[in-house]
Amino acid sequence: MNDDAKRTARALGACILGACLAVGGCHRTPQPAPVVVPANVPGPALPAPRAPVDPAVTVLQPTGFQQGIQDRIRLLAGGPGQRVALDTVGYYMDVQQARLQQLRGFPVHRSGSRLLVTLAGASAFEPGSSTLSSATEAVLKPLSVILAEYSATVVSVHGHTDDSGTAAANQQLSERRATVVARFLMAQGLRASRLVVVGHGASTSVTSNESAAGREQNRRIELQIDPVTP
Amino acid sequence: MYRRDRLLVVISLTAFVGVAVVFGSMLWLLRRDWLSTEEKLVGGLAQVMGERTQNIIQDTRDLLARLNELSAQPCGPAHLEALEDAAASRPHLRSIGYWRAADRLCGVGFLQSRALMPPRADRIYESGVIAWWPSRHTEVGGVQLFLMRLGDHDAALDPRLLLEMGPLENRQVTLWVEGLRMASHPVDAIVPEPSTVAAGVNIDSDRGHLVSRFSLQTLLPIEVVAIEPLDSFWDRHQRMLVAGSVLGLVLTASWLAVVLSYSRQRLGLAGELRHAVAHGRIGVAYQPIIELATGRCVSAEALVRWTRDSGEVVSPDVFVPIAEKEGFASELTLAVMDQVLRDLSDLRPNAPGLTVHLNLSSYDLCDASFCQAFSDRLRAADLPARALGLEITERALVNGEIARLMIRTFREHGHEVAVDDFGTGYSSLSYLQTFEIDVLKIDKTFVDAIGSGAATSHVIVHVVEMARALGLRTVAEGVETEAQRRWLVEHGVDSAQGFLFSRPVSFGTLTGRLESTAA
Repeated sequence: MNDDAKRTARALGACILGACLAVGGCHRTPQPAPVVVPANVPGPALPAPRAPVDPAVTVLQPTGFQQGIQDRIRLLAGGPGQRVALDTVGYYMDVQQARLQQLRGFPVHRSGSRLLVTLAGASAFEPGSSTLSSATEAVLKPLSVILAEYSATVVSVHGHTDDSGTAAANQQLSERRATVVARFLMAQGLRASRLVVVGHGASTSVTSNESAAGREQNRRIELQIDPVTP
Repeated sequence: MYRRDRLLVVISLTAFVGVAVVFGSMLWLLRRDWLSTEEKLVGGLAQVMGERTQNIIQDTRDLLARLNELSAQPCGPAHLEALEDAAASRPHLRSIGYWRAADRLCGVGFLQSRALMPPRADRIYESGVIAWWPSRHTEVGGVQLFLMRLGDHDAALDPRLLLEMGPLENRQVTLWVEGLRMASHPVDAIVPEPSTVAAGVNIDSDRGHLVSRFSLQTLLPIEVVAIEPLDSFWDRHQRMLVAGSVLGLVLTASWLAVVLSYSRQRLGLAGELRHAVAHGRIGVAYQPIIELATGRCVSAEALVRWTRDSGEVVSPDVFVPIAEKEGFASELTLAVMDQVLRDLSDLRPNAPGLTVHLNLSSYDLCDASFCQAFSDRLRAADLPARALGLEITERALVNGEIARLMIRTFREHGHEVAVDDFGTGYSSLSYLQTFEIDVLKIDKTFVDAIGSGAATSHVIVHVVEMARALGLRTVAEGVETEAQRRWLVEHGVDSAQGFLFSRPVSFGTLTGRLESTAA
């Protein structure tokens, strides 16, 4: 059995375990569970190891999601995957930040050892839609290459909508959008265990929803990248 | 305060100020020269170092970008060869590494086994370039390296090679890029931050340093700060300082010599006299001239008098030769004339016939401009020429043609011209025919000889006769006894002056006497 396949299986097991351990029902499995083809598995040597892989993406509730992310980090740190030694976290995130900035398609924000990438405007979604545009895919593709290289991180995908429509609909829409992005990243080779999804609805606007331009800014995906440290 | 004391104070102050100015300006010039030399030297070095730094940084960035573009198999022979070539051709590069995230997969240079991963980048540029300035986190073998990473490649630079070592000598120099310390010479140099230093060369006397800062607004903001102990700065310029001091001393000595000679001139008798003449502080005494036939005072001889500031009365026998020697005899004459004219203007209405005799020096008669000054003054005083007679010494007549013309001019204007001290000169009597004169004044020595039986006692008889023959009036000087007066009357001398009649008196006294004789 290929090592990668084993690791993936174990990681997903750990993921489910982590989900069960997390505080009081703050996460659940989304209804249409996305199917993930692990692209990081070398092709010819591997006979399509789909069966043991549960392609579920963990969805965290907008309240207390940071705790959920911390739990995930702790979980991965104890697992067999990549970790960053404490004294190289700075270097690791610096270099990763530089690589992300080099793509130039989106703002990269750094606070401490956390990176925040915001995809808004043209590189986000149409109103009400949760379908990835080709423009968005063009942005996400090179981004996923970097995320795959810097694999010792947890990537939380945050979905945000504008304020048109009901809160419940927006909540669902934002989760759906984030999940679509997460599935795309998985399709590009990211392990599902590194990904969590949070839908925020229209609750966390970055600007006013009065104008079309403002709404476009609010309709966004944020990728939060945290290093996995021991 | 006496004029002399005031002058002394002024001269001392001038000397002091002059010395201070000389030394001050010498020092200022030297200082300026040194600072501009320093500015050129350090500024030039800073320019060179700054440009080199910028070129190296840009070159490193371009190199990393090129390496990222390489299509060779990572860490394969072709890739490693490219890295080796790049490192070998750049002496400042300590190593080049190929990375996968935070794993250094391979590399070339002196740091092959070391993967430097400082905890915090100093700059992460939009272009994706990450830079770590030299710090303890980048230190290898005691050298703090400058790290740059772009994409999968990084490079370590030895910043010591950015600094020009040769001409820095005793200076401590730091090179700052983007406000961050890049390189120092020596390595442990303690140099202030650029933001605390004014641009250019400054003297920090508190710390005893010469501090220079030069900023290069090139693509990257680069600053060079250099400090040098003032001691070594002075040492470097010692020869100039010595030369400057010697020059300063020479200048000072010359200045003092100038001040001294000036003060000697001003403080001496001549200087004081010149000052008195220039400021009209020359006094005049009048000796009445008595018409022997009537005993009336018809004229007076104006005699120059000078009292020094200190109260000392100086004899004309002393100060007149000084004025002649120092070349302001004419000024002295004119000063006397001014006083006489003032007095006459007051008196003349009371004594319309009075003539005052003014003594002219031989210098006055050589000087055509004197004639002009004389007549200007007279015109300004609005007095008739008759009121002013002129007495000329025998010696003045020796000067010949100019004197003769001037005397003629004076006479034509209506001035009475008398020959003073007649008989004491060296010239022949022939001039009495050559010159047109009105009066012959018989010198006191001849008058003294009257009745003494001396050889000279006979001369006066001939003088009087000769004068009569030439149609000249005669005035006897220095008459002191009644016997002399009688003799003069008997021999037909017209007028006389002397202590027998009156000593030289002030103008007020003269006025009184005139009034009394008129009455």
